[in-house]
Amino acid sequence: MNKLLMDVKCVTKSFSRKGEPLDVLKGIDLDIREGEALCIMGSSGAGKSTLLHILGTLDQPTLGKIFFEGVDLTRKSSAELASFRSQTMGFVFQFHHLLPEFTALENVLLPCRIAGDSRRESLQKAEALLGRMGMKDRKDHYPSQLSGGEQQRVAIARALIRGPRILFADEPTGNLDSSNAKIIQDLFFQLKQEQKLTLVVVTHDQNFAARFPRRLELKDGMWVSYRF
Amino acid sequence: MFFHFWILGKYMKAWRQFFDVTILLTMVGITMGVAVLLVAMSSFSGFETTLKRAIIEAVGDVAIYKRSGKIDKIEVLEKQLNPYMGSVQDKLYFLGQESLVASKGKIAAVFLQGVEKEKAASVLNLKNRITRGQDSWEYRDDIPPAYVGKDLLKKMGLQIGDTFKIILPRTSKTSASDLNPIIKTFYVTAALDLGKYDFNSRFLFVDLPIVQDLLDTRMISGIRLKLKNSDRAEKWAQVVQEKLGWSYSVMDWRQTNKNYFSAIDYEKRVIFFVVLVIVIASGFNVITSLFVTILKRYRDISLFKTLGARPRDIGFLFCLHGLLLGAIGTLLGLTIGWLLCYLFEIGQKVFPLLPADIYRLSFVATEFRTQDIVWICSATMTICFLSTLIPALRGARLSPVEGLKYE
Repeated sequence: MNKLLMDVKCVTKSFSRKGEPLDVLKGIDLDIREGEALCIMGSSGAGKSTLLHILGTLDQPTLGKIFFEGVDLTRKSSAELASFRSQTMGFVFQFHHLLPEFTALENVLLPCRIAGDSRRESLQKAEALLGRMGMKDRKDHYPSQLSGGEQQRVAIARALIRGPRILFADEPTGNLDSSNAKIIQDLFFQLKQEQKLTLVVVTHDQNFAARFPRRLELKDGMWVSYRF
Repeated sequence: MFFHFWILGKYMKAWRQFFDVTILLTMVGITMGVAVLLVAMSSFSGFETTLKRAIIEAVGDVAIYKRSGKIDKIEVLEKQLNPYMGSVQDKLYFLGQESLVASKGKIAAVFLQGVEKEKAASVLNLKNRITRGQDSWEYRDDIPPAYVGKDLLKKMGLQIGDTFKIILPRTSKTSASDLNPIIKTFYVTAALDLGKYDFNSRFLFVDLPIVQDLLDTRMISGIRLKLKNSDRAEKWAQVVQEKLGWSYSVMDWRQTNKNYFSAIDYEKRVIFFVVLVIVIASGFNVITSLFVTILKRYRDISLFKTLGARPRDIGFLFCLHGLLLGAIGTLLGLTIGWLLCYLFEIGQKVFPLLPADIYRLSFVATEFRTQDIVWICSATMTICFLSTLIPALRGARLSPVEGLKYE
């Protein structure tokens, strides 16, 4: 069994709606092992995206702890978490969130620029990654000049540019037609193998979910089926 | 390089999105404020310089008088001044006397000055001040020439070449009640524009020996000095005053009109802060437009944070954004201000904007001083920087999650 990468302990997330507390996550436990591919499923409003944001340190839990290789992430400051995310995590969203003023190549370079990486090396890496995504000829195109599938491939390249250990994807094929969705799904598994990534994907897509060795389902903020 | 500059550069490249209505209105505010500040400051500086030049060209950089009476032993005074003459370009002896001008049934009180004619151009710059007539110290039919202030000529209804009489009131040496006025005829050789109404309506220059003969003396009222650097006149005058002691009065051009220049300095500062209110008001526009930008860029902020930007990076990005607006507004403001100053000067040549008898100066040039521009730029940029702080703090604190939820 691979070593434990992330350990989530009794995570609760509550929001206040019209003065009434609304529990989105109710005492979630989760362990993620290095190199595994994990799929989180559930209906709308089940808390999948909230859990993914908390795992990705984009949001803080109301209660509970998250450990990454034994280090408690809930005790880190915003600046420390930003640096941690930059070094360790990659993100792909349903709406690719590419910046319209930037070309495909510049969008991919963004994490490196934020981290202050060497320009030449990052440029080489970005071009290689876009080549790997089959986007070499379209690197100077703006997002508005790319199809949905191409935009998502650029977003994946952006998530991988700094060599993350864990990749979070929130409905990555939710906005794509079936043929493009198939291409993206294949790409995820190929990249997982090539880059020895740990993959955590939230999806509605049953076909996509069926390809994951480990599937978890959330309902009303709790696990329906939890398999260790 | 900081990634903030790169991002801002890319945003600006898509200028149609970047310069939206709120941003444009903000920049118009800053531009207007800076332009008005520049016009106000350069007008004051120009006014001060015009006044300074008028005073220097009419009375010299420094004037040395004897406090009681006239100077009789010039050699003694010159010997005392010798160690300080290195800074002096030229000197001129003068003898001044309050007197009356009479012509064509009109009488006016004037200040008659006898000056060394060969130094009139080098110390007082009378030659450059001639508006009509000619620079000539030649007698005409045994009548000596006089250089007359242009407003005095107008008041007396005199033309170039006209003759007039100078009346010097002189008391009798034997009787307290008797008055033996001396009358001498002069002709107008040139009309002078001395830049200041006081001077133009009262000053009258003739050759020194004539006044000495009229007053039956070889003494002089004082020495006017032209320094190599007029700006050092105050310091020079202080040092020489200490050396000469109380019996002499050493006055530099600023001291001669101390109240005037202090008032200009004071007014300049007050006007600076009054006009700065426009820039402060546009500082609020900077706050508003940055908040609007933050709302528009919420998704981008969330994305930057997700990709590893720290809260202070986001804060810095919006500070830069605000400072960029300030910098563009300041540059535009300086350009428009410069244009307005240029138009102001042309306008004065076409229309008499300043009535000479009210403002005492017939033409006000505008002058751009580095010090003024530095003050305007730093005040504007400081206001813009302070205005960015609240929105920058707000942007830095935004949660990355909300901005990523929707397209």
